[in-house]
Amino acid sequence: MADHKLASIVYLVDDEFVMRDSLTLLIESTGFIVKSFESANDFLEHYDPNKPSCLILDLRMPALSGLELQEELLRKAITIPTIFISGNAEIPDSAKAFRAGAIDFLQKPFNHEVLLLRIKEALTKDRELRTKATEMAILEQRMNRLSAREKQVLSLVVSYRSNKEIGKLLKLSNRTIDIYRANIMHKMQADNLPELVLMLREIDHLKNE
Amino acid sequence: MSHQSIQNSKAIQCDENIGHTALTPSEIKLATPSADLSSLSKADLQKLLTDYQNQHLKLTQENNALTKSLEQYTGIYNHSGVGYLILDPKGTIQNANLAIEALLGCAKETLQNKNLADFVYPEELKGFQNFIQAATKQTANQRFIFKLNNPGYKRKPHDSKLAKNAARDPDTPDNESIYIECQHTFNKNQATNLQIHLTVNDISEHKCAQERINYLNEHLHKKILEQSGELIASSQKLLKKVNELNHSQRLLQEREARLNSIFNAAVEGIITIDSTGKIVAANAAITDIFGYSNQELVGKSIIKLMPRTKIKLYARFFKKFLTKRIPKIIGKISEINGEHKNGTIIPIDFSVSAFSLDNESYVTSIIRNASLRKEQERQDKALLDELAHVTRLGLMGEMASGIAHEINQPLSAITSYTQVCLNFMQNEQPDLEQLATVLLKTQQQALNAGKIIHRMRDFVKFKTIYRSNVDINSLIQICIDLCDADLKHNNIIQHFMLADGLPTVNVDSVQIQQVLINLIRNAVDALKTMPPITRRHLSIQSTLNNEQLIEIRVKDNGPGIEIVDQKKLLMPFFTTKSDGMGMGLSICHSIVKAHEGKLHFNSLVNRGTTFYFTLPVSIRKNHHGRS
Repeated sequence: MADHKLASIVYLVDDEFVMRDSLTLLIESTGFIVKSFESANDFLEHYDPNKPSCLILDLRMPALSGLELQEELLRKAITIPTIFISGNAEIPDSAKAFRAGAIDFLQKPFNHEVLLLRIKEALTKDRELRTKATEMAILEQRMNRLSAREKQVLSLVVSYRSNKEIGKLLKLSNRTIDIYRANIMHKMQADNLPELVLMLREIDHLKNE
Repeated sequence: MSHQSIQNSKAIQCDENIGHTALTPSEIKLATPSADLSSLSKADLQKLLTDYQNQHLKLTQENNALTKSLEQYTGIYNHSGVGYLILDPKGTIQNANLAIEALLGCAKETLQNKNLADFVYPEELKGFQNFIQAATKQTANQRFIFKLNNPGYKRKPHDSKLAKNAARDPDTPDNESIYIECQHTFNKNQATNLQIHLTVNDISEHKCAQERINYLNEHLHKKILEQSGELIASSQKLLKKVNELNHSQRLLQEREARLNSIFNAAVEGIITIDSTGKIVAANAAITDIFGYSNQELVGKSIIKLMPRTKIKLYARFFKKFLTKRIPKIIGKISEINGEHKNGTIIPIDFSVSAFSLDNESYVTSIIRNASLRKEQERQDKALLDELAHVTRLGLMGEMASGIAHEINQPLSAITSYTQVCLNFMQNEQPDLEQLATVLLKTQQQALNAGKIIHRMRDFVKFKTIYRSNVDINSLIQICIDLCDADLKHNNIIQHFMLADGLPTVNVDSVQIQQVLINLIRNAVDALKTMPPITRRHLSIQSTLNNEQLIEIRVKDNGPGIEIVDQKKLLMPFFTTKSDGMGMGLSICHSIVKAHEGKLHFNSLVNRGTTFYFTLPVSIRKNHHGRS
């Protein structure tokens, strides 16, 4: 855990100095590294996508507001887990934030335990996202090695069709199907059919996210 | 013929002489026709002869005297300037003197046996004949004037002046005509002798002069007519003037009567004092206000109507007032305290005017009992205060979320800081210095939150309004603190241009804050409607303007106010907001007015709106307790 803490960064964006100062002190006192910014643009300039991180974001700020920054991040495909904080939260704002994938929407003054919990959750999520992204990258890499015919056979295999049926559909002999199947298993580095099916589901799942 | 007349006169003289000489008896004897010379003695004859000789001598002497006298008279007759004529009854000239010769331009010889009628201007012949006829009847003195038919006679040089004048004027009578006046003398002695004796005069000059006089008279008459015309005109003018004067006098009287009735019927007290402060006149209303009757006041000093406790002060003030201040306050309404007969202090409003009469200056003052007005003002103010309070509560309600945010901020910070402290303390050897730093921060935030709550409470608390001298910039700061959350929330960029070293204003801080907050919130509401891309600016400015008034401007670059709405903007219940009451600006207007200031605005559609209001600089209270 301590390792995670050291490796991860908690970004804090709030236009109020007092909020930045108190939250920075608080979060740092629990062992995290905090980087605070006065404005959304400041944050965008200094954000490091390669490091695991989460974002504590004030809803209301001059210039770019919290929600606007969230939209901007989505547009840039930055998937940093975000915790909103707000002095006077309004339901439409919080709903919008949640739809855009916010971890939580905390109202000031908030319980520090909840905040720390949410920070941990966020960092875990970030870690997961990063792992999944890596897995996805590997699977996609393997998928890319398949030929068009192999991909055709693969889609039929994972829908539990027998070799015979596949042979009939593609007007190929059973033998040929067997060879394709072996190649697929090899290229996708799957030991058996259920593993292959899981892989494909994983790909679908990640893509959908 | 002249002899006869001379004889006549001589005879008269002789008669007289005879009358004076007494006759001797011998003379009587001689005179007696029957006397016989023979019967006379020689002595008697001798005596008679002597007498005769004496008589003869005497007669010769007398004859000489008479001859001399005759010569004298003949000379006078012939050389007289007056013409004499003797005519027979037919008018034939029988005798004439030299003057006639000259007059008729004929030698005496040629004149003889000529009829005088030949010399008469033909048109006048008839008159002449009547005259001759009348003369022959010898009834009375006759007089006839005629024009010479053919004058052979030249004017005398001294007439040139007249002639010259006449030449200039065509209306003057003909100078060449000669007019003759014949005067017939009625002679008793000549009663039987049919001779006509005429005295003839050349009256041409006289007539000429007469005519000239007539002419001049006419002229004069004309002139007089003209003059009198002018006189009539001017007298008419005068009459008109007199009428006008009468009219204006009547108006004056009317006015005086009206003024008198106004004077006494006026609700306001009217009092006139002389330069020493003595009351000259006071109307009925003065009695109502002060309780003194007219008799009790006239002739007394004005000081009588001033508060007894401050009599010295007032006496001094009034002296100065009468001499110096009058010109400054003429036409203005001043406030002062008076004292009723029963000792009650009465606030009065008074205005003065000064006038001079016969080198004496007077001051007339109109005095109004201001108790009612003061009471009204107090009530108005109480109402305004109450209304302001109610709207302030509403305003606070609208601002609640913003203020909650304002308080939330320090509270959040406090919870964070305290947690930090707790976290620090879990260390085996807590860094006390670090701990202290964080605790100080905590304290500061608690104070901040307290301050905001305090301000908010002050703002909504209904306290009896009391005015104090405050710095307007500090009021602006408080308002900004209360509105800060709203401004940030709406991405409004704030600008402050607060002048340094401004004099203080004597105001009710809470009400002025209300005005400021209202204006700021209006600006925020206006700016909110702008699309998020536009930069929203709010600027607040405080200055001391040219009129030495503090001026505060709240300016936004919002959408501006439609011209239709501008007129109604300061009216109560007018609002452009869907959830507004329309009381905000109306109350602001009243509050500023109650502070003797003015609230205005400028607005341009699509450019923005500026609200500005003025407040008078606070003045130190002056010595007689009124500012």
